[in-house]
Amino acid sequence: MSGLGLGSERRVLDAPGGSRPGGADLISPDLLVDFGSTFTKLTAVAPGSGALVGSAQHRTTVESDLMDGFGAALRQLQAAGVAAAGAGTVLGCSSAGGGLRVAIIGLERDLTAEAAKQVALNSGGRIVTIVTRAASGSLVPQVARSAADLILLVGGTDGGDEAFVVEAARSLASGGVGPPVVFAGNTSARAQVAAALDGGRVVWRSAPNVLPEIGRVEVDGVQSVIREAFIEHVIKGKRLSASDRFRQIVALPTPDAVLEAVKLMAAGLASPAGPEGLAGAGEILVVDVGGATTDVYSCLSAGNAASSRSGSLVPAAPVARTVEADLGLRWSAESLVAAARELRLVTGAEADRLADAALQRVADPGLVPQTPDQAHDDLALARLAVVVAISRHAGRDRVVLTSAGADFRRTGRDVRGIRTVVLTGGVFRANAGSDLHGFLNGAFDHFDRRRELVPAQVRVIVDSRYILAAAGLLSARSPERARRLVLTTYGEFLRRTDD
Amino acid sequence: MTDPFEPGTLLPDDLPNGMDLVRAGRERAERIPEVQLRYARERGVASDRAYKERCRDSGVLTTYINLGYKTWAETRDVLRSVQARGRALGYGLDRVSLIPDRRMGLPPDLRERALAETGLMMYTPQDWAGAGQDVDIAPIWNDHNLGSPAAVVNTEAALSAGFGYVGNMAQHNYGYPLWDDDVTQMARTVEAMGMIAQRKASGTVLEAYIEDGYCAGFHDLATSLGWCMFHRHVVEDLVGAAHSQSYGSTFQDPLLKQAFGLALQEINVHGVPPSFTHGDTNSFSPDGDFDRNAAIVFNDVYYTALRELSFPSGGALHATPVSEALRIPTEDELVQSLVIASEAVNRARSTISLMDWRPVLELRDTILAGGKRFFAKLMAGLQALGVDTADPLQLILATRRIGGSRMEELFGVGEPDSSYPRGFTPVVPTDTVRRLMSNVNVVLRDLRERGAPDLSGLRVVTASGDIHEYGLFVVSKVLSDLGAKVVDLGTSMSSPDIAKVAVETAADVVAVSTYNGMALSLGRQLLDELHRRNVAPAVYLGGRLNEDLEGESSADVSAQLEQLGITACPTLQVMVQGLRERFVTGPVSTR
Repeated sequence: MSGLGLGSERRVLDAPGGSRPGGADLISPDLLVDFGSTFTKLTAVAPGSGALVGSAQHRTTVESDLMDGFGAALRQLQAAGVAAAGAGTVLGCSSAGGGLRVAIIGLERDLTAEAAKQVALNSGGRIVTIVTRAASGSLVPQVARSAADLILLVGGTDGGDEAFVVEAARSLASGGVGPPVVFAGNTSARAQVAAALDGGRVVWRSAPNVLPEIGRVEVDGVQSVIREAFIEHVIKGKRLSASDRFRQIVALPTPDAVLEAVKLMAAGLASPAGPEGLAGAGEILVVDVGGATTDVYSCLSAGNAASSRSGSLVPAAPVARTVEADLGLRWSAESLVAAARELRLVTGAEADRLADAALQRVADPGLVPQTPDQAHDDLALARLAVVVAISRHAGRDRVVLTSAGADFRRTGRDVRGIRTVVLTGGVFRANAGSDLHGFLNGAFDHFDRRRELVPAQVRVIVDSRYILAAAGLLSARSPERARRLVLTTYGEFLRRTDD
Repeated sequence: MTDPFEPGTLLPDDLPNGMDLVRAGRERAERIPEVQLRYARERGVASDRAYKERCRDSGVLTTYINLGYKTWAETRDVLRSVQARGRALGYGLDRVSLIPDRRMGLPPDLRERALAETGLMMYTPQDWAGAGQDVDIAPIWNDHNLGSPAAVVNTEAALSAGFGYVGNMAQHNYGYPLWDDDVTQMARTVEAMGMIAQRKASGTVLEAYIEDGYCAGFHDLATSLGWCMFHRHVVEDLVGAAHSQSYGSTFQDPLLKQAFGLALQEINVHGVPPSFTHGDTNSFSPDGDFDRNAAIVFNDVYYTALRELSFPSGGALHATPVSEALRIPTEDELVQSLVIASEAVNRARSTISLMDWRPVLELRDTILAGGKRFFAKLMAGLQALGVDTADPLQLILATRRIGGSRMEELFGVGEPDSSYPRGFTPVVPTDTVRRLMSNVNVVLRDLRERGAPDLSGLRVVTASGDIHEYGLFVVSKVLSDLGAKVVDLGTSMSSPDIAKVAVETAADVVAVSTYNGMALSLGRQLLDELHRRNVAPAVYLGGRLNEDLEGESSADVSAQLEQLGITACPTLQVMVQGLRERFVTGPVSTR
């Protein structure tokens, strides 16, 4: 991660070859693998110190077997001197093959379906369809069309409505729907749902109710069952690799791993035992800019999260992820520029130039910048994606005046207090040598801060070493080593408060 | 309230500058000739305020009444008579709040078009001049001036007649018939405040009777005091006027009342004598037992007299007439109240050494500390909402638009506690909230005496369609205590949201309170939302069930609601009886 003014920071990763910083001579490092849709990234971490000892990447070999690309990247790492890479612990996350495509079946769009959406996004899912009672007549065809990897079936608070989930379960069973089902609805209906799904030989798992009562969302319990279903059913079902090892390696969808890293950084990395303690970044925003989408993760303090969506029937979780499907640097570059124009982030000749650049990228999603101008355009588009995505992630305040007094309505998340933004994604890794000091300076100045809950001045940290997914993966297994990985890689920058 | 308004913002972008309005008011006041009140002239002082200061500093207690017959002539005659009878009965009468008809808050050209109400109308300059000179009593023009669309014209009239205390700052939340422009209304108020400020050197005081405004509805005395600090900031720091804050009618507990009075004195850093301490108007028995009421009045004014003797503020004493809750007091009842006040002062002087002020002072300090916290939170909160806290117009318009209960919810300083209606434990609960909490117990006791039903297993969604929370709080609390599983959605809930929750929770009952005069529309919309979702819980509506119908304004719509299948509940007891018949003695669930 390069902090502001760190343009001279030496890049660790020089794709396509591997690298080995620091000259450490270690045996059997922990190996963290991110099977991405485009690249398979390997990160080797010293098991004791948690230090980053090397990294490598190779094109994801989705056309043959994902382990082929893994093997190629591993050989690069070994060639770069990390000889024992792969011999120790290997943990992986995956967004290859379309990631975790989730279909939600919920009773009311703004209640149980909304709670399910929040949890599914936090579990690294892509929401491919939401079917509510209003459209439940066409439930089976809609789910089938969505090509979902997993179905999240919700409805009714505990002790509340049972009929909807039972009927939906019967429809799924009789309709011969293929994907595994996670049932996270009214627990009183569980026996009837079980009978229906078992009767139709539907693969399913039971989770706690995602909205056990109005005003309370159950995140962790449901997320944990989604992870189990992902590992047991989804990864196998995607047939991305014939190798058993692949299924043993993959533990999480990639966005889920990144979210774990976000929590790790925000919660504070201070070690009570060691002198190298770090206060952590506190409330934090992480923006992952990709070719097709831009993901935003935010971690708020509990109090701030409570004030977000105040009065809402489905409260905001302290940690949340949103996905903007129309904001990307390649496939969705055109809609990105259109969205930025609408917000007047770009105007005139600059807007026209970027619109041309976007068209070029949509036509050639594999474009790798060959000239300084192309690299500059990539960064300009990335800046727009970051600003638009954060503004959408942020909530809105609305005042409704009535004869009896003002009604303050807040939707979305209050990220005004966030001072640290971490940027991650290939474009930043590729431009790690650029001086990104002031990348977001003034980006939010023209927003109406009485209504839009966007940040003001933020310090920008760029994940040029791309360790977030690795740290999140490691965190699930060993929080202490994950802490050390972040600390030894970026501690210097997280400590800085002067930016 | 301006409607349509700019959604998303509390204040419009094109507001006039408040300090410019203050300057305009000062210039206007400079053109008004100064007149000395007869009351001041006969006492050899320059102003009403100056005499109050002399009394305060010499241990003299003064008295006060409210009076407002339809004309000045009628009012004057009664005042003369009451004062004359005092010479025989041994009491004095120093001050009178002239209680006007609400039409006086409208500009003169609109007054004839509005419906007549009770109270005084000042029709001519001679009426105003008479109020200053016809009687040897200091007149106060408190109501329907500041805060009203007639603020400038009424203030000009009051200053022209030499009135020494002109109010009422607390009424900037008032609404008026035939008037819906809150920006102009508040702009005129600020200009009128500037007029009063210009007369500061002559002893003119800008008055507030705090319980005419939000203080009557706050649940925490810390909020009330912080709100008074807010007014002092606006009136003294920004506008530059002398400010008097009177209080008292909503206080029943003498400890609370005197502690709050002392807290008010602590924030009165310029030592402006308050106009009066009002008598308790909430403790009277509803059965019209005037003898019992007389004892209540004596007790109330006795403690106020003790405080004035021990910690003189200069506020006049007020003893509430015993018939206050039932009717406009007769002359005899006014005389009786002044006799009680006079006796209370005598008893207080002879028993003053028996009073232990330590618990009162301790409570004063608690209120004071909480009030300071509320004031700080309020100002920071207003800033966060984009309000210029150095502009008096922005401040009073923004707080008017936010509303008192919402302000307390947003900026209240007690610990969070969902068992209290505003979501926090008041630092020092007001008598209002104490009564509310006690009402719950009264209703429960009453129900249990009649054999309250066991509502275990009944799923009830409760909500308020507007910002009123009292009824909702009592309903939710009582139904929970009777065993129902209550989902309380709180205030300002929309019909679609209520219906969505009814669906998810499989509610047997939806109970909604409404007070905003749109009960029939709300009922129809709610049923529509429920029917669209194919659910049919029993629907109960309570509160003020009225709406403007063709040919009848604010008509009772209970019958229309019943026709739709909604149970209209005049009381909670009726609702519980309905639930008993529907769910306990009849089938347990409609589902």
